[in-house]
Amino acid sequence: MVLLKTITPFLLSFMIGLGLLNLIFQKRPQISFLTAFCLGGGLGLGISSYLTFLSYLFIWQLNKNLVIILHMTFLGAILAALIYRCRKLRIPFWTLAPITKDDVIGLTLLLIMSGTVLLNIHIHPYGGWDAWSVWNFKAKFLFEAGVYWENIFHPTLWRSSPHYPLLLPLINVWGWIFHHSPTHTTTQITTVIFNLITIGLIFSALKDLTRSYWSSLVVFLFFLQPYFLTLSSAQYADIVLSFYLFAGMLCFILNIRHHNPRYLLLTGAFLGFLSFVKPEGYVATGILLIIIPGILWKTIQKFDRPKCLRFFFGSLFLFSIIPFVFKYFYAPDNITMTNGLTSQTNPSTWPRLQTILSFYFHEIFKVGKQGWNGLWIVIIFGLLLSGKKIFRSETLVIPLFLLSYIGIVTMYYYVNTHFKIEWWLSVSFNRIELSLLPIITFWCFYSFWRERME
Amino acid sequence: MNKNPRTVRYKQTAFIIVIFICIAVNLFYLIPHLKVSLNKRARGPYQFYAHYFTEVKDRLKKNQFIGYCTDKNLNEPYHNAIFTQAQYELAPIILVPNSLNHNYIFFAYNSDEKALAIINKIRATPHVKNSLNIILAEKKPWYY
Repeated sequence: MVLLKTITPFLLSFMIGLGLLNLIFQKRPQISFLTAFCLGGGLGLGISSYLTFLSYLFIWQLNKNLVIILHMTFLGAILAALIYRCRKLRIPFWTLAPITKDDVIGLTLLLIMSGTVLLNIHIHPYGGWDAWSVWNFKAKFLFEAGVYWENIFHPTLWRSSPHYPLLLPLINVWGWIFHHSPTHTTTQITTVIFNLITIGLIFSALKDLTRSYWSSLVVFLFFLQPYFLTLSSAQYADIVLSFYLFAGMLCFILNIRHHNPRYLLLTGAFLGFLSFVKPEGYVATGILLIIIPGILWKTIQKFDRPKCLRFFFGSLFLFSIIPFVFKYFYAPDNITMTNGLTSQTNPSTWPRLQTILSFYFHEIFKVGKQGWNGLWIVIIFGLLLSGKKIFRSETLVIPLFLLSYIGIVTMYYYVNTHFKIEWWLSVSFNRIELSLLPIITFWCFYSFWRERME
Repeated sequence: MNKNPRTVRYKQTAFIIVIFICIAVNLFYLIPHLKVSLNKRARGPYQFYAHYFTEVKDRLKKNQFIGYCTDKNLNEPYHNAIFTQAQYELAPIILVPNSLNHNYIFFAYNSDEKALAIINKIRATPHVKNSLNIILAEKKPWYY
């Protein structure tokens, strides 16, 4: 019974996500069931987070019944729309790809390999420092505070970064919706799900796009990487950020590859969720908001452009309303900011920039249980072997995004002198690497094996 | 890009070999790490300081803020961990460091004498002391 109470919210979220995918695609999209499953899971969990937040926005506290009713209504509306479409327009109820033998094998491999994540969670059941200090603390606070939930932004709680967005805590609150009190099993399940759908999406998207079975190597590369496991099973929001960043960019690439603008509805949705995960998400969404329309303008045929831009901006607008409301009406200012360019006491100096750049270099080549042990070398080697094909138009969004994002991150480390740079880099740069790893790995493998197929 | 099939095959073989080396190196570090950690977990339960505050949660649940007075440095990881995990366990109650202006106050001092001296000074009543030597005291509202 307890297990049923714990997994039901996640099942409902997956059903909402998969239902919505069926509604978006009127013809069968060129993605496998496993890819659709991973995209649908992320979509459904993001929607659940938004629906849960509506309770706080409209009746100023968590009302479990209202949240459940909102979910059931949303799911019911999707099912009604699918039935209507099926009867009136003669479009099949299920337009996604059926489950194939490859999907079953892929899912089995993922489930077996995710055992390493479970072992790590068994070792640290309450997660890392920021799990109890920030993410799970916020979830617990939101779940139990009643009408006082806005105390979560109180300056006394500066240790929990009150300005951080609430997507992950709200997913956990939704996960507890059938429980009387918060349990750490739910936060662990959320972590396992995001690990599975992130690595599953890299693997299945590569498999769909390159048709190479070597794409399964990414499952081993990630699930056997001790540093990745430590970071991704720590119950932090970084694996969630990784997923939405990758999913958003992947759907944009699928749109170019398959000339199907409906993928842009998903890109907009995932970028909306991305901006509700962490402050880095605002930055990433902002960069992609400039790059994506630019690439669309260059690569899409003239008659398709209005439709593509309408789908992208329409969806992004819709899914950015909640992050916007949070950012401008609730989130307090970031108090951990000192502008080193104007500060007399903590100025930005040349040695600070040197420290930042040398740290990047050192971090990439670090070996040990707290090191990447050659993962970045594999990626760099793969990119070098792929040659100029890494700049082909369908994946151009990735290098453009990476250049801009890393540039902005470096500038932020340089300009914000609030923290001692050595300590700050040591606790935060590995998480930035984690958030970029899925998209860079995909870029490397896709460039390499797409080349082999031509 | 050279499309010579032999070059393509060489490149693919080289890339796959590098990937397998990387997986092998990672396994070399992962297996001992998991072994040591799992053995440690088998020997004793996970140490989570939050549990030391569970028993007082019901008593405190009507309060939005409570004090957490200490003579320890909360910037030190050990003391910071205790404070942060107490905050986690007692959420949505907010712990206000070094504040005596609340109904309930935790006293995390190096010596009980020092804590009791302050408790007496503010005419509070000590209720519970947990295994971390942290005393919970209640101050009657009319004293402040």
